[in-house]
Amino acid sequence: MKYIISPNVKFREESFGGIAEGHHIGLVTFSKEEFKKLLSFEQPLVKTEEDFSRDPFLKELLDLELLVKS
Amino acid sequence: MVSPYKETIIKNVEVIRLDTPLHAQIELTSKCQYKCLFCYNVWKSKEPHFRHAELTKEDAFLVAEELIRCKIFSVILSGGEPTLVNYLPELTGVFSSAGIDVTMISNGARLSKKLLIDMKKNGLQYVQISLHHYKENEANRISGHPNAYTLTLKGIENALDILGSNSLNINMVVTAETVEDILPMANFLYKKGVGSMSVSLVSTSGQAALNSLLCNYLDLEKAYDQMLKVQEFMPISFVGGLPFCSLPSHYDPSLISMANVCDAGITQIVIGPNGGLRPCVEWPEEAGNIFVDDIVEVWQNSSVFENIRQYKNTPKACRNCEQVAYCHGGCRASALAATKDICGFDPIMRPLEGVK
Repeated sequence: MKYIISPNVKFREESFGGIAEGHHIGLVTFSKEEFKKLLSFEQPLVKTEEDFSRDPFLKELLDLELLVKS
Repeated sequence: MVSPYKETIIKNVEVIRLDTPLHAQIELTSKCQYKCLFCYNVWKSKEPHFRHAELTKEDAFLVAEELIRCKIFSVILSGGEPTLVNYLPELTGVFSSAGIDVTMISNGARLSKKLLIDMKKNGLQYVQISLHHYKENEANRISGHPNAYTLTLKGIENALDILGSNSLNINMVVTAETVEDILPMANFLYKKGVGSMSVSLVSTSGQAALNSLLCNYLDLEKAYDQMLKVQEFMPISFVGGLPFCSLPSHYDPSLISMANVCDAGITQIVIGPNGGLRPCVEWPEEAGNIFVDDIVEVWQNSSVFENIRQYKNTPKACRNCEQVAYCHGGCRASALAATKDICGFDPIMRPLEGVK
């Protein structure tokens, strides 16, 4: 399945890493490494259920609806 | 890892430090057709050249350029009355083309279908219209205009028609005289098809004190009790900072859902009709001017913003309260206007036992 950053979320780089904001999630902060990972979903990216279960950060992005199915 | 949060002068309270603001409000003009009894616009008490300030189209586009450079997420176009400038659709388009959400705050009097269609085409997402009473004579008296009720209701109808109820909020500024009227106002708006409403308790920083309209903590309780009932059929929220301790049930999660946690100077900046940079619309002191100073430098280093972020303006008696991280000790601009002391008490705060 392909996933992409939700169109309902805005995000930008910060000197500490990055931030994202959406109506349902409020303001979320990221380290530089985490933000880089989020940005990798600017274009649709294929991930499996196993990928999400192996990576708690990715799972969190999905749970927060920062990532949605493309 | 570099932490996004920095310590404040209050133990265990940290505040996020952003490189640039996330949200901006531009007061495009100081002009307005209405003369509301409680107008909060801080320039009302200033020199005449402030009272008649307005951003030209070139000025407004320069401001937009600076805010786009700051990578803000959203902008509110306000005034005075923003529909009195003739470049609103184009300015809306500049922001929306940069991926920035655009909201307008208006009295509704000039919200024609044509203007709304133009603005919607250019990316306008949301409108907040101010209507202060459901009775015609009261609305006209409060707004200081003989046709305010009719004009504003027409604007609301047009906004519902063009934008839809999900893109419209009606704000009622509540005074000591109208605090019992929130529930009937909500019923009135609901019947009109309005989807959400907000309540601003009249601000001390405007003209309300002159007209003896100020609210106290008992009025806040009355407002809150009615808003709990309104929540059963329509979303409703407070606008402006709120001293949570003024309510008997201030630990109730329903308050958190209705309260507007103040983000002045934390994520928000205001640009006045003369280019002045302030943390919030009710803040009288300018930290700089967007046409003279670097907005990023002002945001990151001015003492006006820095004192807010460090909670230096919070009343000493509030600094040990477990709610202080959210409520800052209530609205600091109201406290300043009421007491002439930035660390003073918000005038709607319930008197603390043993504290003067």
